Amino acid sequence: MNLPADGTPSVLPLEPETRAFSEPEEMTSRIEGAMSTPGEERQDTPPFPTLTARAFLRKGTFQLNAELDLYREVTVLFGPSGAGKSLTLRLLAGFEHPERGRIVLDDTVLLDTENHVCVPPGKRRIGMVFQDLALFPHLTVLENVAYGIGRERSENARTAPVPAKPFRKYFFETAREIFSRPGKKPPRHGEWEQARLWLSRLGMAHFEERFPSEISGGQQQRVALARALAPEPDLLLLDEPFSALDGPVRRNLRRELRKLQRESGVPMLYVTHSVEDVCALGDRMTFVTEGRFAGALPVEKLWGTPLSELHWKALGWGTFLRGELRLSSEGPRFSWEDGILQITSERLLAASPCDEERGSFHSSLGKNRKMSRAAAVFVAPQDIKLIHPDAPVDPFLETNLFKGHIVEAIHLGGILRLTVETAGTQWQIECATANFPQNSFEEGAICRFAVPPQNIAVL
Amino acid sequence: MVSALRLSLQILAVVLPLLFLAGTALGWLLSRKHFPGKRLVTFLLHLPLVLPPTVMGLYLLFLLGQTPLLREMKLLFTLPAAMLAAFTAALPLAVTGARTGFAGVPQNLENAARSLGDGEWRVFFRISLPLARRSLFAGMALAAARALGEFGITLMIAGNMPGRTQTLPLYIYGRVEMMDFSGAHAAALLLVFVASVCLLTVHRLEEGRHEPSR
Repeated sequence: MNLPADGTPSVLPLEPETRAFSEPEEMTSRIEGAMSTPGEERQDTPPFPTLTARAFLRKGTFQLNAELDLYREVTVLFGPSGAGKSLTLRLLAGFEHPERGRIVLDDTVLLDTENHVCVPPGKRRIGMVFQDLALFPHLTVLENVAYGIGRERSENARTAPVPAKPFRKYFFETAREIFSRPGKKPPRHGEWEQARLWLSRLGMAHFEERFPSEISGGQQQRVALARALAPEPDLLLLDEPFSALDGPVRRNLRRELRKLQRESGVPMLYVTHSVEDVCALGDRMTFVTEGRFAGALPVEKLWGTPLSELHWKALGWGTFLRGELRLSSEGPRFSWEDGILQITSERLLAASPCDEERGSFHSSLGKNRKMSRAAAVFVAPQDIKLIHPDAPVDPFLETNLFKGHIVEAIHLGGILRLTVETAGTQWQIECATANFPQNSFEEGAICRFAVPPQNIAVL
Repeated sequence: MVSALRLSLQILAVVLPLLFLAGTALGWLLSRKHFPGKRLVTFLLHLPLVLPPTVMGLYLLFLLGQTPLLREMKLLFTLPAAMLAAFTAALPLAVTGARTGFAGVPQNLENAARSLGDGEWRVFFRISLPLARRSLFAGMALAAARALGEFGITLMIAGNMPGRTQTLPLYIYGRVEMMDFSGAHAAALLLVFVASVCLLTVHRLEEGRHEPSR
């Protein structure tokens, strides 16, 4: 990037739309894996996405710009409340109709506003687990699970729909039901065995005669999962399904869901705002904020350097600063509203988005020492060195030394999590409590910490 | 009295299924769809509840007697006119019951059924209708009681002809006019009985609604 000679900082492409998130190398290796060993479980990720969705939807003042590519794995849609996560699911399921867009699932066009294609929800072969579960209260557990099994959902189903129960018959049956105790209902086709299989897979075999109101929340959750999986959908959407459950139940279900996904290979899109869910379940994650999508990211990379401010905001982890990068006589420096940080040139080199820019930027900085550019830096909480209150400062740590007062101190087992404020900037610091005397870091106290230059990531 | 009872039952036999169909359809429409003129439709549907029956009857009288096509059908002062009177009076109750019922069915349940492969008809018959049925039938019970007891509109457009348009309430009126109180009491007792049954049904349905519905 060639900077203007007058030294005005030119803005680097930090916005999520323009940053490339995908890993080309990783993708090709996956493709090769799929070509050589098509039968293997983890490697049969197809070279092209199972589902591609591009859609624009306006709801009042809210605008959703959905951009999604799903593979045969668990993709987590992550973002704060009201970011449009649920709306995206409803869009894919076909409950919402976008102003323009195109959704393709396994070569089937589900939606194409240009060509006026819109497959109704019932024929999309997309299963969904609702946030409130939406179990049918008037059907038993078994009937709930069997509900979607054996339904014809192919193209010819449109021309020959399954006939509804004759109205007269329905009228009398309903009238009889009101005045009599609910009894056993006659079997419909032959789907009971399949429904029982799914129930036993989720450990609910003993509850088939119960009604949803007669089982616990975790059990209802299992039934909802079984019901959505039983018709063997081509895609499963999960809308914060475990948000109402407590710790152990939640962990168990998460593990089972993961197992089910591995076994069936059904692609899943999981909506959540819990970071724990993301790490425990996801293969890949996509950030959403205010209706905008920030590309996908493998979950392994989640806790590294954030790829954008959006990413950082969504995680709420670490310290993120926006300011200006400048090359001084003592090496590269980052300055922001409240201070200056010394950084290493290696981190600076790694930061530029592409090779061309990297080279030109660095050389331009080298040639003209007054050069600067707008930038952002990130420091992970465990990378900040907290300094013992009574000990002298290690000369090693003297470069970026700060003093601030503690806003918040949380003890999490052996870990101390601090929020420290220095002249308007809040730092997140994590360290092992064992190294420090007890109660030395109380809220309101003053503490010193150092930010080693090699731990500062430049974005 | 037997002929009056028979007429009343005939009217109910025709009107109740019609009420069920019209009430369910309109109730579903009003609770699920948005369309221009929805307020007007709601207003017109509720009007028979608050208008004096004689006013309703007057307008229906002119509608049936003056409108070209309807006039040719010679409906006035016949059994179908009595059926129309009962239908008009009872429709608001049937619609309200159905509307409350459908509005109480969470849309997510319907969406869940859709995501499991249901088309709109199946969603209606397998989810919406079964879950709305308590309110729906409560409304129907009220509507049946109202239809059976219809007096004012019937008198205006169907008249009070024994054996042809004289329903039970009109029969009571006629007996009282003739000072035959025992006949009036007998018919009144019958109506009290039927009305009580309807009301008890409604109560039973209302109570059940707060329990887990199934």
